[in-house]
Amino acid sequence: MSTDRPSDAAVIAAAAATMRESVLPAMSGGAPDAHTRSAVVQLVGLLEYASSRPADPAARRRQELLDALHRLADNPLVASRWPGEPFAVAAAALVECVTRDDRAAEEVRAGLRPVLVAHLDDELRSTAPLIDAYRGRPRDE
Amino acid sequence: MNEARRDALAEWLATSVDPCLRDSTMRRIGVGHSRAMYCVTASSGQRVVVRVEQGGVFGTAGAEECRVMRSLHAAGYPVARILAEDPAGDVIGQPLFVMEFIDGVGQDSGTAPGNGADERVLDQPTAAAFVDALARLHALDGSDFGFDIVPDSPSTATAGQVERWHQVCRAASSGPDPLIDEAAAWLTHHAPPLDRLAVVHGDAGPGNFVHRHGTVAAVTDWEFAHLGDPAEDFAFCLTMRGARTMLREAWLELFRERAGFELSENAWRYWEAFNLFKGACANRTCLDLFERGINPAPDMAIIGTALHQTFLRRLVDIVHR
Repeated sequence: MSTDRPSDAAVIAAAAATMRESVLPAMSGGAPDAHTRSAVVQLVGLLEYASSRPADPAARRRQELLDALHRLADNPLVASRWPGEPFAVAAAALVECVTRDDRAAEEVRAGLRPVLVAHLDDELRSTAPLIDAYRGRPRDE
Repeated sequence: MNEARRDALAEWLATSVDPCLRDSTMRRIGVGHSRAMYCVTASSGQRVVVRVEQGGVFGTAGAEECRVMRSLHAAGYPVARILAEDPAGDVIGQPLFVMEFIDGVGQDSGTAPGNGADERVLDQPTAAAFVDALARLHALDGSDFGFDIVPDSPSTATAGQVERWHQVCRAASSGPDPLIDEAAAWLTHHAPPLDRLAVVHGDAGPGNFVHRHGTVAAVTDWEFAHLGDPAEDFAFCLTMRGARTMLREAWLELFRERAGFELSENAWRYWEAFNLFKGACANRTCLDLFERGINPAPDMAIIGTALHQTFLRRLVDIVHR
């Protein structure tokens, strides 16, 4: 669809490209201090992340956790806290499990941890390139 | 720092520290995140270091750091002497303090626990001297050093630190994080017993001390210092700051020989988890500051996301083992 204004994505991409292709090479002569160069590399990384990351997964993740809690509806550690905000219920149930080794606790750990860790791994896949930028290394160095 | 703030700082330094600093040059040193560090050089050649807060990064305060550094200096510990302080942020809009410049290698400072990216190369005598300095620190009585938190007894110190960092993380988050909450409960439940409160640096290892000719000229970056268990520092050096400096076995041998310090593998794992938790919680503050526009530097967004998540992932691996 045509539009009369540039999209946020295009503006971000332009900013990243300009910083990468024009600003950074101009800084390579050693003139700027280390902090300034690091800040530019980090800004480029952040802009590239913003333009390439997937759509906000918050709603999907909330639903996945909700589904996992529904599967544990008969578990006393979950049932006693239900209904409630899914992340708060999951947190409270997992905290209580820390001092328990019974079947109910095992069931909660087995049902909730994989969902939450998958969310974390999913997020890390999109943020991992930022680590190089944080360390002052542009993507193509 | 813009020109108006530079001028205001130079004028304040001239009246608070030494008139010769009115005519001075200012250079940012290190690539720190929690504090901006400036080396100010007067035309006379005198140098001082200005350490400026960055909007509350990592949930630590310069005022406490300053008090503790003064106490350490008075106790004869190798730490830069504090020359002046502006805890209210009247001079340039952020709290700051001024300390003497310590000549030597390793002035890079200000990173979050374990965040440092540089290879931190040390020769063996310097590493040994650092372990000696760490052991000296742990032997000090810090009960009147001016720490914000003084535990009722050694037995509550570690759980108290877990709660402190958990609170920092919660205050910076929009809602509960089940993995963080579970880890906090696990760390509290498994906290090792402690007989005596020690002064703990909290971010100990290569990159956070200045050295020359195989000796420690000054230990730096005291913002995470607190009263607690010395194991926290040894584990931090082993698994975070010093992990790329030399092999694990070489560090363990130094700890044994120079400080008489040993732990079981399970205990090392506990303290690695503790430090990852502390780092994850501290890092989370950066995203909050970035989102609220208090500190719009790009590293804030990166530390608050990628680094926070990286620490949390390693933490989860230990807690879920």
